[in-house]
Amino acid sequence: MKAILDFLTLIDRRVIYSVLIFSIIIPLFLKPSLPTRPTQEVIGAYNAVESLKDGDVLLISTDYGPSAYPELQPVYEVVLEQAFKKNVKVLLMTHWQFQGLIVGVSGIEKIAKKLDKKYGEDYLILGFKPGAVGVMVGLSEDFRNVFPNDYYGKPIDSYPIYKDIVGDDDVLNYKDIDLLFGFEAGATGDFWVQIVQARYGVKMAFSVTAVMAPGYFPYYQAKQVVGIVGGLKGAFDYESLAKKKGLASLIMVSQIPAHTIILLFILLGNVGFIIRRIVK
Amino acid sequence: MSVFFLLPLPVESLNVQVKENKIILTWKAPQIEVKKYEIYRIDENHDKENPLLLGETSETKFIDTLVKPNINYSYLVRTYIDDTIYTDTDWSKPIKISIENKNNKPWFDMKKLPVLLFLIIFSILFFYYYYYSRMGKVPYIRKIAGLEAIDDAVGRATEMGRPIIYTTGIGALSDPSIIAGIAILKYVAKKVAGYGIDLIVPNNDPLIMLASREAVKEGFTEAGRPDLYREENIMFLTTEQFGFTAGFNGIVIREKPGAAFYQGYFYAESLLMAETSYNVGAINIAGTTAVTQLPFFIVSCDYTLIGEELYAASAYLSKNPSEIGTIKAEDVAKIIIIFIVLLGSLLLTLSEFGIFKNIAEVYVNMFKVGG
Amino acid sequence: MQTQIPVITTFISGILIMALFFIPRDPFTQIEQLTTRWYIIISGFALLLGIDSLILYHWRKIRRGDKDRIYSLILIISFFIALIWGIWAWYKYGGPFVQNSSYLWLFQNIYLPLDATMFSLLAFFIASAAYRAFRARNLESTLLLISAAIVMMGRVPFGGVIFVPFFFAFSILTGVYFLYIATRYVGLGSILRFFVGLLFIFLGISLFFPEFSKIISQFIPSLSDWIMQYPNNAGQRAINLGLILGSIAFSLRIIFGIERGYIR
Repeated sequence: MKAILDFLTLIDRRVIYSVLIFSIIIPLFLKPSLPTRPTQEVIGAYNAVESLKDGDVLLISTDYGPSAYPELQPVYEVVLEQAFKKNVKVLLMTHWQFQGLIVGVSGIEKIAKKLDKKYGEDYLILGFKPGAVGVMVGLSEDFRNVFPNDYYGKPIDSYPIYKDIVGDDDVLNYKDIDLLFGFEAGATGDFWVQIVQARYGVKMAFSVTAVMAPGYFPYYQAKQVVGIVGGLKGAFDYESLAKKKGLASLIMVSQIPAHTIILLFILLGNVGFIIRRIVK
Repeated sequence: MSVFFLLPLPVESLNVQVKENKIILTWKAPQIEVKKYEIYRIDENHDKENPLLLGETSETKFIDTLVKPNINYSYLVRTYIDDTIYTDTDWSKPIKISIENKNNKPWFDMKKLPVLLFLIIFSILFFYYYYYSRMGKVPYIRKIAGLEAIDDAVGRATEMGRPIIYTTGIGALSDPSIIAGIAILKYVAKKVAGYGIDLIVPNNDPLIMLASREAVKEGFTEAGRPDLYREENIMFLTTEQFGFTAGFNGIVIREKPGAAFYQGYFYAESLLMAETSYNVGAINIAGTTAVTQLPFFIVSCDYTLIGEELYAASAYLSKNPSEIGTIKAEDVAKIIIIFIVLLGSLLLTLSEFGIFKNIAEVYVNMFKVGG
Repeated sequence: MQTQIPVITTFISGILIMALFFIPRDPFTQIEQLTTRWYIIISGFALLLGIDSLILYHWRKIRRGDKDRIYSLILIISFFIALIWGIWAWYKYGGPFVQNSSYLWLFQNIYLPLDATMFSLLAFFIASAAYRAFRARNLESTLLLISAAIVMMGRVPFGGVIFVPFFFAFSILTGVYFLYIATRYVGLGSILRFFVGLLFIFLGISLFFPEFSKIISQFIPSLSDWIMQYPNNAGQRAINLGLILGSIAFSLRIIFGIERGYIR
């Protein structure tokens, strides 16, 4: 009896890891089609991009690295496709040094090539500047104060896209931005809301990692943010709304057995725990 | 054949929008081939009988940059099928632009008045309880288990003959939670010096490393054991999140600390670090203001300081009466805010039934803060 | 003097930045950016000190002949390879992360997979941590366990269906437990626990009825959303409120020199 109870309550962590790894890998070969039920927050984010019109300006901030790639990159690519199909002008920036740049630039160049969009006319890569809060405040005055040159080192006001989207006084700032879509794996999302949305009223939506999603619900409830795409489930929902079968749809199938295995181990632990208490 | 069959239809969906300090006109082209469009405008100097010709275009978009603020403008698009045959849209609804003049901005942003008022009220409470405690009337602060356990954790590590590892996580020296972590580090260093074991402090930021070195040196000096201070034990690993985590975990697995302290700000690496130190048998004491990481610390640590307990820690450990008094100010402010929230909830609920609707609206607007 | 200068500097800069928040005129709106840029410049120089500390730490381990000195050697070699390669990429391509740069190959094929691997360890660690921590020790931990199970299964397709057998097992287990502890009490306490136990067992048995199990399976995703939107939000806001008040009080302590734990 003691051996059974010990087995149930003291399962070696290496056994748990081994079972989990197979439960994640095997379903990847099956590729089943999964039903989905998008939540209101995801629908809000999707509709925010869908409601953009020809000539509107979408500012994207890719504040994540390769660790959050599976959760955020699928949504990023779908958002870009949505925007480019509507002839929305896209500006790309990041607060995440070279990591955010690499994921951002690779994504936008891939989608731009696919949809035959031209750099400097349809989209512009502003790049990275350190000092998250300072950057956000600086952009409220003039984008050129923060990004005088683009990612390739050329002045941003030398491009046709700049002339298309600025006002008569030749100043590009938050007033020209129709939607800000942040891809967040860190604290910069909070700064976007607390500084940019609260002070300048910019419309914004976010795609965040699953761990961070609960922290953004208060902003959504307070209507400071029009949509949140949280984690892999959110990415899967977003792809299904856009009728795409991307990375999120492919790997979502692994989450089902993973969650089931974790719950099974929790149940085994509790069975042993409760029986041990009864026996004592 | 009647000439009417050759007339172009007027353009559809004429859309006039203000964008900063220009006016953008867009429209849908009619089905027939168009030679050109002319754009006319009514303003303060031109009327319907004598409108201003702004320009011509062959595209379905026109940008009027010759605009001044606070003047009403109306537009008309004339569609030409050839040099003499054309049709007009109706005049658009009057539109005007307003441009902010930065130099005329006030000295105080009235939209931030609620923030200032709250700051004043909080500061009054803060100084009141500060001086109240200095006069000897120290308020009661409940026991914080995580802080009470510091001495036990250090003692346990000493019995096992193992070092202690301490980290303030990932952030900048400007973060209050990192500063709070460094303040606790000084206290832990003082305790460690008394027992003569090693204190290892890996850091994610060089400035935090420098501040940590000062705090540990000061802690050892205050305990009367400056000779035990080892600068090489407080090192910089890397600024990269998972590089830091890998380095930290490596140190934990090699050094096998008896106690691990996580006091600062953390991201996804929190669970990786806490589980690793748990697996080597260390007692884990965590404290963070990162709300998203609290669940991970709670499941993997023996003690967790939640949110504001981290900020209260330095005052709690120092047992300085005036610092403890300032913690009381937070609690009083919290009670005031709870009261405001409850009253607001009640008013908004009643307003749903048509009772006190105006009062509820005024009440909610009182607390709105704009940019 | 050594403590007074930092305290005075902290006081002046703290009060100044607070006051500037309320003034919307130029040039005050730009001071926040200016101070951020100063911080970045200072931290750039401090990075040199940090790198010096890192290299010296590992060099000392090699010189002392420590057991794991091979890893220190690998670190130092890797550091210099990355440094020299990056400088060379700057010279040849104009930047290490420019499109055709060979350094980008190093970054994308070595660093990125390592970074992603470290993050993926979270999945395994959360499994072992959850297995260890989610035990029904008392009422609070039981509530934590139930809500975690509901949210976990509510966030995946077919989660509601998979949840039903777990719900069955948990209900029967809890029912048996309450029936057992009912024997440890007398009077009203015993009767109450007995009926709670019966209720749980009845809940578990009713899952054999297809209609009821279908309702449960369809209800789980909505319940998961509700938990995330309401109790979770309320808890987050409450903690955030306390946090913000705590950080204001802590910041005031620092600005007015009451808190000096971070300096001499």
